[in-house]
Amino acid sequence: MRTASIHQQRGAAALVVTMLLVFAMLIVVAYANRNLVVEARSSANQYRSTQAFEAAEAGLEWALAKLNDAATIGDDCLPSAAPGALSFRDRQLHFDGVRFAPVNWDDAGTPAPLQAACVRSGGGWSCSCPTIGAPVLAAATGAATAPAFRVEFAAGPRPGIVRAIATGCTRGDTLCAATSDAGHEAATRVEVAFGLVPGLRSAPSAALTAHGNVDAGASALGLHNRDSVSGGAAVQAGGSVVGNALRLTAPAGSALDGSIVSGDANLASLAGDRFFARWFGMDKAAWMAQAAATRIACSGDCGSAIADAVAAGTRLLAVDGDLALEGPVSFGTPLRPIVVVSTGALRLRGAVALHGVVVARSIDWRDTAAGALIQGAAISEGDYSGDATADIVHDAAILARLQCGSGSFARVNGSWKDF
Amino acid sequence: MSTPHRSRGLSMIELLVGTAVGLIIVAAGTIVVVHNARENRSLVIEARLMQDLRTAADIVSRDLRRAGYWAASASGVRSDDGNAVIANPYAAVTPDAAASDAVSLSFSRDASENGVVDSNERFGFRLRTSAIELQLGDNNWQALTDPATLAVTTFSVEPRTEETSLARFCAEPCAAGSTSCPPRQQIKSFAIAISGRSTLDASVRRSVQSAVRLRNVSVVGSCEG
Repeated sequence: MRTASIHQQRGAAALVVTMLLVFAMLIVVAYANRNLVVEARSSANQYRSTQAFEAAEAGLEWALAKLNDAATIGDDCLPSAAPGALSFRDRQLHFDGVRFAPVNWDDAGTPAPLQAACVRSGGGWSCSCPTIGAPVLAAATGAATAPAFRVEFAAGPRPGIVRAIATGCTRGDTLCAATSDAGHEAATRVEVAFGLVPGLRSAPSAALTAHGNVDAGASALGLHNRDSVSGGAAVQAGGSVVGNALRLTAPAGSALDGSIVSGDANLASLAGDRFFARWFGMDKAAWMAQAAATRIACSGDCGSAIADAVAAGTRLLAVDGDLALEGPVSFGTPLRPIVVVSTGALRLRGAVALHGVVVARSIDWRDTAAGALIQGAAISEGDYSGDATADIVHDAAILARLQCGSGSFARVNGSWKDF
Repeated sequence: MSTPHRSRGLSMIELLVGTAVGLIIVAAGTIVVVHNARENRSLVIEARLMQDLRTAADIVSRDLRRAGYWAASASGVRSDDGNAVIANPYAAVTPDAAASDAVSLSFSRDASENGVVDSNERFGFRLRTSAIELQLGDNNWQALTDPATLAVTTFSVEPRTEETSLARFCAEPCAAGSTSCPPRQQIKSFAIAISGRSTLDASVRRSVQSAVRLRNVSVVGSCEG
C-alpha cells in the first residue's frame, strides 16, 4: 500500500511537469502566430477598404448611367410601365426651367435629398429608389460581405451641373452610414460633378431653317417668330424662299420683310455635318450615339414607334433613315419638348403636332389638316417643300428648355474627390 | 530489514541514464525553441517589410488618384452665361511619358477655391537614399518609409496615357497640320512598382505593384488653332 502511494506521487509530479512544458510551448506557438493573426487582419482590412471604395465608384457609374436612361422606373429602380412612373432623372432631380436641383423629402421636419441605394446580394445587385423616405435594402445575411452603395445629388454651382455623392460600404444594413466601422466594416465616400451636354446647344434663330431652298408653293404655310431676341426671322434659308401665300408673324414693331432671310451665305457655307454642329455642338453621329438618345428603327409610318419611345420617357429621338409621320399625331408637350433627328428625309402628312425641334436631310409637309403644327423650330439640312397649311412657330421657351434641360450627363473633368 | 531500503533509492546507473535522457530532451527542446525564434524573427521581418511596402504603395496610389481635383471644375465647362472656359490649374502630373523614380502632382485643398496652386497643394513622391519621400508643400520633403527598417531599392512610376479625340464636338474642322486641334481627352494611369529589402536581414526582399487610374481626366488642345 505504501509502495503504491509513493509510485502514484512520482507519476503525478511527472504529469504536472509535462503539462507545464506543454503549456509553455503553447504560449510560444501562440506568440509566434500572433504576427500571422495581425497579418491576416491587415489583409482583411485592405480587402474591405478596397471593396467599399469600388462599391462607391460603382455607385457613381450607376448614377450616371441611370441619369442618362430615359426609361421610367419603379421603386426597385427597374423599368416600369406603371402609369405615372418617372425616369430616374425626373425622380431624383427637379428641373425648374434653368437648373437641376435634388428632389427633397421631409425627414421629420428637415428636408433631405432623395437617395437611391443598391446592395449586392447573391449573384446580383438589388436596388431601391424611393420617391419618399430613405431607401430600403434587404438585410444582409451570413458573415460574407455584402457591398452596397448609396447615392444622392446636390445642386451644382452652375445651371446644368449637379454633384453626385456616393457612399460605398461592405455591408448595407445601415445604408452605408459614414460611421459604420463597427465589426471591421469599411465605408468610403466619393464625389463627382456631372455636367449636362445639352440636346440642343444653340437655338436656331428662325422658325424654319433650311440649308437649301424653301418652296411652299401657293400653300398658306404659317411661319411665326414673335421672339425679338432671336432676331425675329420666320424663315432662314441658304437658298431661295418661294411662297406666295405665306402667313408670317414677326415681333411687334418689326417689318415683315425682315422675317424672310434668303440666300444666307453663312448658312449655305456650312457643309455637311458642320450645319448640324452649328445647332447641336457635335456631329450627327455623335449626337445619335449619346447616352440619352434613343435610336428608333422603323419603316413606313413611324408615328407609333415614336409615340412609344416618348411614352417611355425618351426626349431625344434618333431615327436611322427616312422618317414618315401621318396625322393626326402629337408628340411632346411645352414642358417636355422633344428633339427628333433623322438621318434621312422627313415626310409629314396632315395634322402632325410636335413640341420641340425636328432635324432632317429634307422636310416635306403635305395634306392640309387642322392642327398641323411644329412648336419650337424645324431645321432642314436640305430643302423644305410642301403644300400643307401648317404652322411652324419659333418658341423661345421650348428651345430654352431643350438647351438647359435635355441631353446627356457626363463627368466634369477635375471634379472627382474622395475627401 | 535491508530489502525495503534497497528498493527506495536510485542507483548510479539510473541517475546517469535519467540525466542523459533529460539532457537529450532539453537539447532537442532548445533546438526547437531557437529554430522557432529564428523563424519567428524572419516572419516578423517579412511581415513588417510587406506591410511597409503595401502602406507606401497605398498612400502613393491614393494621392495619385486625387491628382487634378479642382473645386471650381464647373468653370472648365462650356456655358451660355458668357464666361470663358478656364483650364484646370491642377491638371499637371509628371512624369508625362517615361517611367521615373519621382512623381509630382497637385490637387485643390482650398476651403474656397482660389484657382492658384498653393504651396500646400503640391504633392509628390521621390526616392532618396533608400527611402520614399513625400512632398508636403514647396521644398518640404518627409520620409514616408523608415530607412532604419526598410531600404527601398526601386521606386518606379510609369505613366500610360490613352487619348480620345473630341473632334466630333468641334463646330469647325481643324486646320491641317494643327497640333493642338482637335482637343483630346486624356485618360492617364500609372503603374507603381516598389521593391525593398529589410535592413535587419538583407536576404529578405519584397516588391509590390499597383496600378492606379487618375479619376480626374484632362482635356488637352482646343477646337481653335
